[in-house]
Amino acid sequence: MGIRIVNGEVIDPAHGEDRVKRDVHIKDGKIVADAGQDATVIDATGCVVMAGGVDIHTHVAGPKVNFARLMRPEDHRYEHVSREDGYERSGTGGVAATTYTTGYRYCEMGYTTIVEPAVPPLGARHAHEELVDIPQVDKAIFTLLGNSEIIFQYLEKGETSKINEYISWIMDATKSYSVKIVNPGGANMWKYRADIHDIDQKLRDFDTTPRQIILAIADAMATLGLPHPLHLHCNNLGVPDSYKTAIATAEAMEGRPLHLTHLQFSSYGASGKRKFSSEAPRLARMVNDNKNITIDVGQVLFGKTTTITADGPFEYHLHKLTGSKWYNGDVECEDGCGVVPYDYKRKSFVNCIQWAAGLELFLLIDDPWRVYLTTDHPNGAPFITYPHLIRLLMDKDFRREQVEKISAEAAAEIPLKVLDREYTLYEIAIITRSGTARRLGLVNKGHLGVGGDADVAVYRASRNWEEMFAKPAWVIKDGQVVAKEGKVTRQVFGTTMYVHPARGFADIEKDLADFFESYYTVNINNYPVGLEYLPRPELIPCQVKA
Amino acid sequence: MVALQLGGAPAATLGEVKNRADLVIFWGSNPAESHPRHFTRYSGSAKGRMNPRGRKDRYIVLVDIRPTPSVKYADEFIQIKPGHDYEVLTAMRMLTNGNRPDMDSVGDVAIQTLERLVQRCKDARLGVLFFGQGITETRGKHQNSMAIYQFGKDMSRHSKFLTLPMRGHYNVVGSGNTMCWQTGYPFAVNFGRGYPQFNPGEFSVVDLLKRKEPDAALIVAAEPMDHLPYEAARHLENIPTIVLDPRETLTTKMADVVIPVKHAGVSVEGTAYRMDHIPIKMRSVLNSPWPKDDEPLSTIIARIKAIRKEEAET
Repeated sequence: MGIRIVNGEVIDPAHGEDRVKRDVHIKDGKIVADAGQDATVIDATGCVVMAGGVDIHTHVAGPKVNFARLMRPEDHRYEHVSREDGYERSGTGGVAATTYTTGYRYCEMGYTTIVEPAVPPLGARHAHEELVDIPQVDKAIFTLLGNSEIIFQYLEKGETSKINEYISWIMDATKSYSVKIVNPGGANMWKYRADIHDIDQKLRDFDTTPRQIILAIADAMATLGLPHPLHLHCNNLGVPDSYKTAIATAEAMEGRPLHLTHLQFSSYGASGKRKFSSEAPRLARMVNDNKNITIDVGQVLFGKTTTITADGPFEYHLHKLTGSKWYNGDVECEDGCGVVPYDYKRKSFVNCIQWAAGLELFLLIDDPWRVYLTTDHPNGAPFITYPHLIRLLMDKDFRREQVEKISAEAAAEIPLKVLDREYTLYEIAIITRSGTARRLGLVNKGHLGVGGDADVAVYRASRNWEEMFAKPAWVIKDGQVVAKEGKVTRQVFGTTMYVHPARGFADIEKDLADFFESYYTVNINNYPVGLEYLPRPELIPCQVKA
Repeated sequence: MVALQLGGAPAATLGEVKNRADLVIFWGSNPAESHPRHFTRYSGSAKGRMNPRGRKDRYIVLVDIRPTPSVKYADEFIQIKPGHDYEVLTAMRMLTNGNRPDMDSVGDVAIQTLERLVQRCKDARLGVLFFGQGITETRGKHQNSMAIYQFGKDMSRHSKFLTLPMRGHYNVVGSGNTMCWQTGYPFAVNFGRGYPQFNPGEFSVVDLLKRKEPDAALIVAAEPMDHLPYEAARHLENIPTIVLDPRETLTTKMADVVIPVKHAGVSVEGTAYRMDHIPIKMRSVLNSPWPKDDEPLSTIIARIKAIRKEEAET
């Protein structure tokens, strides 16, 4: 039986619809033209109807996320979900919540698709095992390749066609959706307790540079026709003058498509009395001028969180800075990671600049189709803060009140204080679903046109945007009502999306066998993740240009 | 685990040891008997990127309270007084941080010996300290592991250094990981309130059994009758027990109900996590007439739900 959502105002930016009064028809898990006479009617009077949210970057599964859970029992103590509250599976919350809790919470905010963006190939099997236990949403992983010694070896020899074959092979071997690069070359250098500070700096043991790594992988991805372009965490992230590296990286791309992730963390300068400043306006200009680039912000919000990143040297830096707990996990031949708890404080000058820089990126980038809402969960803040962030973007009076609460010294310096822009609901729909779905290449998501997946969020309109987005009146996943009034009512499981590039890998088979024999501790035959780890696999086609 | 929760640790997968480590220390661990393949695959004779000659490219130190069969594989054996691991590690931390303890020896080890060892760590391309049950199961328990991790973190200010536990018991790492992503905690989880709560010392199995709190036990692929303290194991004899295990054990002999199940990695495929948290796909090599280990559990939970539903309806 279908569903007909009536009397609501549809916001569907993919089709240019801005608060259009029309019915939305759902049948067999899809948006249809007519759900039929027997359809269940949902009366959405006073509500806006949007596609389900699509999060392009959120650390929710895999080895380093599980270390973040493990290392911080104190993070789980004060929040839980239980069967008594009507949930199928109990769990705990905190910033690194358990898998079931993660799925429930996303659903309860109206999100229906999430991407775990940083899985080392050797961790892919673990990540998929966790995805099996995340309900309510469709999922995908990106594979980390920016410190791959196999790619470095091919780069040294200039064998780009073999890089294409390797990436094709590794996408299949990890059942991944796209490629992420974190601090290219940096995690490799961290294996010598060093780091990379310039995109043209040579690695210690491989005759290559971050620039060469980035370009080779981006070109391989284009050749293979992966639906999402290179997803990049820049070198030098999190330190003064990181913005210079971000600009140099963007320029190096020379027009190739690029997604710069959590750009806020790369938006710092070294000016002012404290030698720490926001250069977000400069980066926003760079994004405005380069149509090949999209970004997600990685907004910082005040409060306690846990930082989790494949950027091992950065986490060591943070550990030294804060004296906090520190977990480091280098991954043979591939990458690394670090975990450090962190508390963003309103009285910290640096934290206030970070908070403001994220908002400045949102407000100064003109085209909402190229800037996406993220907190780099949980690095800037946990994802449950999205409704608060939406209010900061939509309500300039509220924003001004918040600026008054931060460190006065920081408040005096930030460009944010003169920005009056308010996001519209239409723009919020773009940065939280339509834009992210489009950039991910998910043609059936992020819109309410006929043929789209019936993933829908119905929000009760309110001037308090935070309340409105925290508790959607209805959430529909694959054509079924799964949450009401911000509470899960039915446990369902979404798909795991992956790609299977057509490119064969005959030319690298022997190289791989030799490499695994020499440097890995896992047999190559045991390395690939089979489809048996994906109970609901969804193959997304690659688009190879003729 | 508790030590990891308290402060974290510098760690890596075993391939890093194979490819880069030029200094390997085993502390309270006897890999020749407990992990016989470890040495050839990862930590001793294994050849790797920076260790093309294998054993010749590594300096291996064994620290233990008595000589073990592993000694003959080491370049240096340091014998310490039983129960003095914490003191020796503390002295090493002092030396690492530039302070010399005001004594000639600690735990029967000369300070000069420790000085030399600390200097080796500082000079290492990659130093690795593997620690075993001699650390974790002795007086002081997680405090000892904590001292190891703290030493690793202190040493990380000078050189690339890793501290890795020699985990055993087949898939204990996988069970810890699964518990963690489903509950937030790796062990000692109590679901009594309908959601996971964690408190080692209160909810850990030994403590529960010693208090005689459980009135029934479901034991999956564990051998409490052999591994637990007498007092704790004793309580299991007085309550109804169901055991899932492919083998006959002391625990199955004691159990009220035994459900034999297939053995993952032997008679059914499955996934096991290695000591460095890498999951490995396990194949099936033998046939077995018994059910997969998750089948009885799924059946039991389905039956309980059905009974609950019937009760609710009447």
